[in-house]
Amino acid sequence: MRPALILIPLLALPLVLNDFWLTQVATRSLILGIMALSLSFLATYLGVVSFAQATMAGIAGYTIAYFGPNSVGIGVQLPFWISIPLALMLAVVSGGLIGLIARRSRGIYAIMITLAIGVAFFYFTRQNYTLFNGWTGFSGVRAPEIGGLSLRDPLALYLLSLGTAVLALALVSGFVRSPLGLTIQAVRDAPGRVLALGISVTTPIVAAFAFSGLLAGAGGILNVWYQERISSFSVGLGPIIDILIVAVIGGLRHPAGAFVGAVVFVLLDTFAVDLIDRERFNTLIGVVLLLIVIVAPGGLQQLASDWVARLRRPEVKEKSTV
Amino acid sequence: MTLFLIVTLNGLTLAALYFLAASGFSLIFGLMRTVNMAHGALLMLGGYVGYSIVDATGSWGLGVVGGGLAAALAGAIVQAGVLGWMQGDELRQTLASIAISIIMADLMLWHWGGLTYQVELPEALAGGQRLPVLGVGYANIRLALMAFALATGLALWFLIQRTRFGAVIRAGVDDQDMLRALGYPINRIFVLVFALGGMLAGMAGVVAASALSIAPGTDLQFLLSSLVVVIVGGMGSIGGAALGALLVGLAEQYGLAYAPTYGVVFTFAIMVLVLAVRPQGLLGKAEL
Amino acid sequence: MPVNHSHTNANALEVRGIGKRFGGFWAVQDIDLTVRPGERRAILGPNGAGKTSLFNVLTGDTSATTGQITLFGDSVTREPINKRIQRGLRRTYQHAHLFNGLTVRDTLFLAVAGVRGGWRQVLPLRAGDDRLAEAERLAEVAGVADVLDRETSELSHGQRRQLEIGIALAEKPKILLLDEPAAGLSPAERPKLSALLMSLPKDVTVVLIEHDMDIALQTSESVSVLYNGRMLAEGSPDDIMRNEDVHRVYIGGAHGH
Repeated sequence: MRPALILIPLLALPLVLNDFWLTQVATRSLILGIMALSLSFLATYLGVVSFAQATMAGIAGYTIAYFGPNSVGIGVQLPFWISIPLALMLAVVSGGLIGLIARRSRGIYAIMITLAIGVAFFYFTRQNYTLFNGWTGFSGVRAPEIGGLSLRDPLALYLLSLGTAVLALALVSGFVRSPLGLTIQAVRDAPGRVLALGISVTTPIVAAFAFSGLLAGAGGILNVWYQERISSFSVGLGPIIDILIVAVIGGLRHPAGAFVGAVVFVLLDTFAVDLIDRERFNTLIGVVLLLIVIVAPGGLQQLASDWVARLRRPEVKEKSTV
Repeated sequence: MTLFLIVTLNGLTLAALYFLAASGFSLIFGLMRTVNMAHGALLMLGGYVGYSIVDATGSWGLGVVGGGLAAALAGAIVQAGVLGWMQGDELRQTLASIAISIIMADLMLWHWGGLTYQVELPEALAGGQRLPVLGVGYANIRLALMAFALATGLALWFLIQRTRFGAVIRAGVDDQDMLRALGYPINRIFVLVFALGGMLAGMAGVVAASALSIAPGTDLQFLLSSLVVVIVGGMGSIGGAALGALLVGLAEQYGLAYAPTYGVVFTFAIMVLVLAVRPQGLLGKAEL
Repeated sequence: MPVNHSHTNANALEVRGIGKRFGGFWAVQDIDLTVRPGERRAILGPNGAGKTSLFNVLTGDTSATTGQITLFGDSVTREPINKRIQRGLRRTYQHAHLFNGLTVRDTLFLAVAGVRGGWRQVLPLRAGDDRLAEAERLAEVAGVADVLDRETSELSHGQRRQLEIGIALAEKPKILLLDEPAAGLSPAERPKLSALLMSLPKDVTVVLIEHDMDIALQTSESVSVLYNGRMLAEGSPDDIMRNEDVHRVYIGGAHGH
């Protein structure tokens, strides 16, 4: 009942939005939201903030670029029904490997390790020309035509992104109810005790990272179709921080908040040019992140629910002013 | 063989630079459990300020000190103004320091532009030496850099292990509440530690801008190297930072020389290997 | 499946020369312990005697510095805790670390799934999964059926202790190590717990750490007394009551200061 209330307006959105709004704001928010969902999933259910999500998304995106039509003449053309599953699979594998590397680390240690992995991958894509075409990367990447319908069409890409986002959220909520999902949450709460139940701790951690790789990979594929190019800058510190900011704005403990964060981020990005010098966008983003961390570490959702709670119970406010 | 020697020497130079950069990062982490993601930005600030001072005065020594002081001041402001309010909430501190590093990098880009700068060397450091026995030429600045790293390492060790300030800091790591109860101004001590870490980063920045060069992106390069160095060497250990810097610096240079398009993979492989065998780092204590 | 009959006469638990050192401090040293199948053994000792350290080594929560541990004839000294659990060893913890974000039902489900192991651990949950039914049965046995869907962080202290026992009873344990299960319980909650312990099947071996001498002597057929990390005395409750060493160091120590 409730999902329908949100889904119907979203399905009707193309009727009211022009192509600019649909593509630059709606579709972009959905894609960014899917990538950030991969982070907030890890943060919520495994309790690990990973800086390597842009890497997993990038591996999927590079796979699509390398095995699909591009204008730099590198790679091998494969039909989309091979390259898409391959891209998702490589993203899952990369997620699992990153989980394996970071499996013994939590908190700030995990942040340091995943950030090192993400930045090392960025430098690797810049150095390597045979697979990644160095820092110029791939351009002219085209979304495939499926049954005569081109996914480059704004409406088609929007609906595909919306469908993927809904599927991703459904997958997350199903996954966390599965035995493996429960074990992942148990590892978050008390890893030593999980072992004492007779369950290995490595499996759930690797599985959580691999699952986040699936989400990030799906976002990465959509993103490379949307941007029509991918380069080292797509996996550099910029996107790493963007994904983090989106997840933090949405609240790291609320997976669906990633989409709220994405809309806020994209609106800021799109209209910042009217507020401040376009060149200083990074300063603006930095200030926004800093303010969120200082004022509302739980993210916008937390802020909103606090306000709602305060409005409903004014006496709480009175108490706090005493 | 000559190539190997030159690469090794270059690796040692880079290791010295990485140690200078990572020592401040490791110091702050070891003493305060704060992952200062703005460390690369502090280093870059020192480098830029150092460049401007040398450009205006012509004195290299003044540039190193000025760059160090500028970064020390910035570090103190970061701790006193933002991170100090979140002491104990490590995740929040990490996120806040990332925000600060983005803002700093963008403002520096604004002021100094996207150009690549190299700090002009004083005459005594500008030339080169033909090294005895090895028979290869080597720039003076690189030798000076190694000496500087060695001196810094020893000074840090002395400060932490042999002075009263060091003793207070070491006690603060183990039991902050105890120190507070004894009347030590722990918040001010933490600001001082941050200033010290910033000072080290800033001086490293000027030295890096002299031996190599400095441009937007330098911050990220040194943040990565500092992260890997402390992960490999062990969090919060000065000796570990030295060992980690040595491994990473050499690996990077050998990688660049022998497998140019896969160079960074070597650095990465070292990190993964250490994490697999000894997750707390080569000289680190186990995580609690 | 090969059925191993050679171990049917083996002791449930055999410990030889176990020691555990932390830095320069021996928490336990030179411990020998033999527990027969189905035996009810109490381990007594004042605070700091090394009782919980001994349990940690027996379960594999920490590794032994010296010595050998045998469960039903198989050496488990080098095995990690999750393998020992699958051999039928279970324990409760004095300070319960439960999964705060999970419900009682989920926690008990994981306990069942953990013991059964296998690839089904990663498969999606289907309606009518027998592991869920088993989890509900455990909740019934442990007396937490009325809070099945409550998150464990919301449970009272007594409920958490009951849940601890529910976890330990998952999938027919062969040997139960109970670390002061009654500690911190209200007088109203204690009888419930005692009844629960009394209702355990007779073939289950139970090793019980109990601070309270009266309870320990009532519920057990044999007693081992630890003091300063070493085994001070062993015997029937009557022997222990008459043992002068025990009177001096334990009873005198516990009540005399």
